[in-house]
Formats: sequence, C-alpha cells, structure tokens
Amino acid sequence: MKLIQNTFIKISAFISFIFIIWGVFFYFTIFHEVIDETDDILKNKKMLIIKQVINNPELLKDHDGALLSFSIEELPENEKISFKDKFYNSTRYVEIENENEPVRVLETSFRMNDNKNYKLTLMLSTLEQEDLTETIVGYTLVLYFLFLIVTFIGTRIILKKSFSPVIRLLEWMGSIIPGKKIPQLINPTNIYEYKELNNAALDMALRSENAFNSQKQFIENASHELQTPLAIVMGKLEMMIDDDNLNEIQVNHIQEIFETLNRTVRLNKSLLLLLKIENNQIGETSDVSFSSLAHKITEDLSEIYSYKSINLSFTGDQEFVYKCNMDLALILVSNIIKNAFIHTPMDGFITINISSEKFIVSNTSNNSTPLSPDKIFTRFNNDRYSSNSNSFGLGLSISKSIASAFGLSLEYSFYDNIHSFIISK
Amino acid sequence: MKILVIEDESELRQLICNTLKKDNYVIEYAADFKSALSKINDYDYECIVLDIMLPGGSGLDILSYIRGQKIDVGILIISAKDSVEDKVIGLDLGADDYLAKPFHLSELTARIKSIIRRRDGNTIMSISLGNVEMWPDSHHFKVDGKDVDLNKKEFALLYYFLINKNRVVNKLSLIESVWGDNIDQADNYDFIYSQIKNVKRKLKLAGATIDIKAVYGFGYKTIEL
Repeated sequence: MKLIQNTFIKISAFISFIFIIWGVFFYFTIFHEVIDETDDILKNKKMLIIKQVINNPELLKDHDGALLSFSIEELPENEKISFKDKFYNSTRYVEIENENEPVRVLETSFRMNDNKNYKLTLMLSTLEQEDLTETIVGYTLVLYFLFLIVTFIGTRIILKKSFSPVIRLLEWMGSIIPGKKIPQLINPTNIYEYKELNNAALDMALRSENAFNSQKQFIENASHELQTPLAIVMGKLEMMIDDDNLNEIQVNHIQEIFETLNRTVRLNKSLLLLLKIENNQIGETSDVSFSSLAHKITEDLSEIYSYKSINLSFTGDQEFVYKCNMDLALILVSNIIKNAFIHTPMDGFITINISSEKFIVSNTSNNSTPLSPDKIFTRFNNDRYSSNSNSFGLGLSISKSIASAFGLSLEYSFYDNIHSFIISK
Repeated sequence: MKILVIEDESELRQLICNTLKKDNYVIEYAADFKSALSKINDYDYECIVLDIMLPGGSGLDILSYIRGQKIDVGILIISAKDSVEDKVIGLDLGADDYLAKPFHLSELTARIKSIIRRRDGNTIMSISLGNVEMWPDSHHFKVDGKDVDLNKKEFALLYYFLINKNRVVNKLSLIESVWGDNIDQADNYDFIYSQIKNVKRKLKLAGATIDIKAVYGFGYKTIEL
C-alpha cells in the first residue's frame, strides 16, 4: 500500500469518527433546542389563550387554526386537577393531506372566573422540525464528504510535495548497481530528517562500494597469488616431460600430477568465476542467440562423446535470443549441455528444445529416480558425479548463478525417466 | 627474432624464456615496470610477453605507452586477472592476444608464433617441418608439394603439433586448444585418439617425413623421420 493511500485511509477513518460523534451531539443539541423553542411558543400561546378566554368566554367554543390549534374542554368538578404544564409528542390527522402529521402537544388546565375547570390542549405542528433534522443530517453529510475530498486532495498534494525527497532518494538507491560507480545524489531539501537520510544513504552506499571494491581486490589478489604458482608448476612439468630419458613409469607419474594440477586449476577458475558472477561483474551485454551457442557446443561435444552413440536432436523454432554477456551465456549453456552428455547412458537421447521463451535440454536417464531438486544446484554436490572423479559438482551451480545474474530462471524437472533442465525468460 | 618477456615472477619468467629458447628465439627479460620501459625504448623486439601486475606499475600502462609511441611490436598479455574487463581493456589498448594464467607452455608458444606470423604482414607465411608445409591462414596443407585434405579439427591438431615441434604436447592442452576451453572433464579420450589416428594415416599415405609419436599416456611429440 502506498503511503498516500495509507495516510488517507487513516485520516478519513479519524475524520469519520469525529464526524459521527460530532453529528450525533450536534443533532441532539439542535433537536433539544428546537423542542425547547416549540415548548416556549406553546407556553406563550397558552398564556395568551387563557388570558383571552378569561376575558372572552365565547372563545371557549371553536378555535381551530392551521398551524396552532387548541381545544378547551370542561373538566368534571370533582376531578383532581393539576395546573402543571404537560408536554408530549403526538400526531394529528390532517384531512387535506389525508395523513397524520407530527405535533407537539401542551396540556394544561385552568380555572375560569366561574370556578369551572377547563383543560386546554395546544398543538403545534412539528413538520419543520423534521425538515430541520433532515437538513442537519444532509448538511452534515455534505460537510463530511467535502472534508473527505479535501483530505484526499490535501494528503495527495502535501505528501507528494513533502515526500518527493524520499521518492528521489529511493530512485537513486535503485539506480545503484554493485560494481558500478555510484551515481551522484542530487536531492535538495530543507527538512532536517531528510538531509540526515540523504547523508546516511550516501554514506552507506560509499561504504558498500568500498566493501565491494576491497572484496573484488581480494579476489583478484587471491587469483594472482594462486594462478602464478600453478602456472609455474604446470610449466615445470611440461619442461620435465620433454626430457627423453624418462621412462614410462616416470611419465605416468607426471601425467597423474599434471591431471591433478589441472583439476586444481579448473577448481580455482570455477570458484573465481562464481565469485565474479555473484559480485555482478557481468561485463558487456549483447543479444545472444542461445540456439547458435547450443549448435556450436553440441558439435564439439558430439565428437568427444561419440563413443556413447548418443542421439541428439533439436526441436522448437530455435528463437531463444536474450540480451546478456556472451562469454557467461556460453558457460551457462555449455555446462547444461555438457552435463547431459556426461550423464546420458550409451545409446541414450538428448533433445534440445528451443522456443522464444524457453530453452530446454532433456536427456534420457539410466535409472528412474529423479535428482534431488534441492541439491543439484548446490555447490560441491558430488552425489551424482560419483562416477567421475574429474568433477567438483560446480558446473550446474555456476549455470544457476549465471542464470539468476541474467534474470533468467533455471529449473530442473524429471518426467518419464527424462531429466530436463529448463532455462526460461 | 627477439622476444621480450616482462614478468616479475622469476620462476615463471625462466620457464617462459627456456621454452621459447627451444624455438631459437633470442630472449630478453624484464622483471619490473622501469626496466621493462627502458628495454622497450632501447631495443627492437618482434614480440613482447607482458604480465599485467608488475612491481612499479601496471602492464596496461606499458601497453598504452608502446601503442602511444607507435612502436611496432606484437604484444601477448599474460595475466592472472582472468577478468573480462582486463581482457577487453588489454585488447582495446592494442594487445594482439590475451592468455590467462595458468597456461600450458605449448599454448603460449602457439599464441606467440601466431602473433609473429600475423605481424609480419605476411599471411601467406607457412610453417614447415620435413617435407610438410602448412599455411595456417589460408587453411592449406601440403606434403612433398602435394595438397592433402584435412578437416577442421585435423588441421587444428596438426597446426598445434607443428608449432610445438620441439615439445611434448599434453593431451589436455591439446583439447583446450583444439576443442575449446569449455570442454574439460572428459572421461574418455577416444575422440583425440581417433582424430590423431586419422592425421597419422593421412601423413603416412602422403609420404610425409614427420610423424606424431605418443609419449606414453601423457601426450604427443612431433618428430622428423
């Protein structure tokens, strides 16, 4: 959820709460005030009527009015009377409109000069009161929605404006790529916290750049330190073998040392490659056709593994093109294809299916158990390579690293005794 | 034919010098940045083998100096920094080739010879041994003056053997050179044996005075009969 939405929702919830409380309070206050006012009118009228009636007993008879009506009836002499005013709400039937309308009623009693008691009932239509209530509720709602709109626009404008340094900072942070130079941070602001945030972010970026560089430097140094002695040993062995006086046993020993040395060389290279990929040192990118890579690789591999009589076939429209580094793409694809060649049994099948979205290398298996999906891409997973002492179990792990560095996915699946490695965009 | 080897690691430098001497090159060496620059200023070389990390400076600076001064010399960078950037920078600055450490001495020799051949501006230059002659750039091969057909792999193999005629060539370096760096961990070397068998057969059929001799399980050596 965006900050703006979040703030708006919280503010509007708060406003709703305040408005409900205030609306209820306001409604009852006004209502009470109106009834008070009505009762006052009724009291005044009562005084007037009683005065007039006392002066002019004729008026004891009929006296209906449109808004204010009253009736006077004589009370039996023996009835105990109260001269107190009694107010209540009631309804009155209106003929013209053929409906009941709400009224406020005042009942009181008075005594005429002839000592007779009369009950006076005064009614005042409270139609206006309902109108008033409606108006109050209506205008409260209007005000409420007005407030919501204003808040919505206000939070948008204010947050957008006051958060623009944060958004700029986020964009800047997103543009930092490890191993590349840190872009300049242009984020002017007068707000103290934002200034601090800018400084902290810049400081952190510089520190991570330093850490990255020193790590890179370390890798390079380690590489240098190790590669040179390896080169020396290798060269010495090559010089040694040129000696014609060596016998077969000696040559075989040298060959064994040479092969072991070669494994060390390859291990070192593989580890450096992995570190390099994980440091995102991907290098230059271009549009790489995976199908031409696959054709090139299989040409050599078919020759090398010709003794296995593997049936190799290409299917699909051969259109997998991806923008990435050529050298790394070659390693990615060749490790997977090589893996297939190594593990396909004699007379087995390898199928390379290439479409615009997927690059799939499948090979037949000599047993029906799938490989452990958790382990195949793990470094130094040697389980499946037990037959080959020349392998470190790094090939697929390197492929996986390259794929994720490229933003491709590399998955394994097993179906119907066929292992498949799927690269997809 | 003079070659300058600029490498600070004395053992490796001696190895490079010794192996190149076998091919009758005159070798000089420099162990640091300063002496390398003074040697380059004072003498003419056919080719320079240049290490990038040197005491006193970077080999890349020597490279840009050489190209800046328009000194006509072939340059092979040998670096332990097997990073793409270095390779790209090196080749951009005008190096002729790039070889990552550790390398096979036979591969180093092959690269140097190829640089020298190309810099001669004479791409029709051939390599010969006994009665066989090879034109690497035009992909021609003759035995006793007669054309002999070789396929791509056979040609590459024979080229590697001829260029390393005084050495025992290890089969791993052969695979790397002919089949590429990505073909490691082969558990069966039959494919080399069959290709070499073909080459040997073709040489024998054409009456060549050279042969490729297996050196036990290690590799091969090219000999003149």
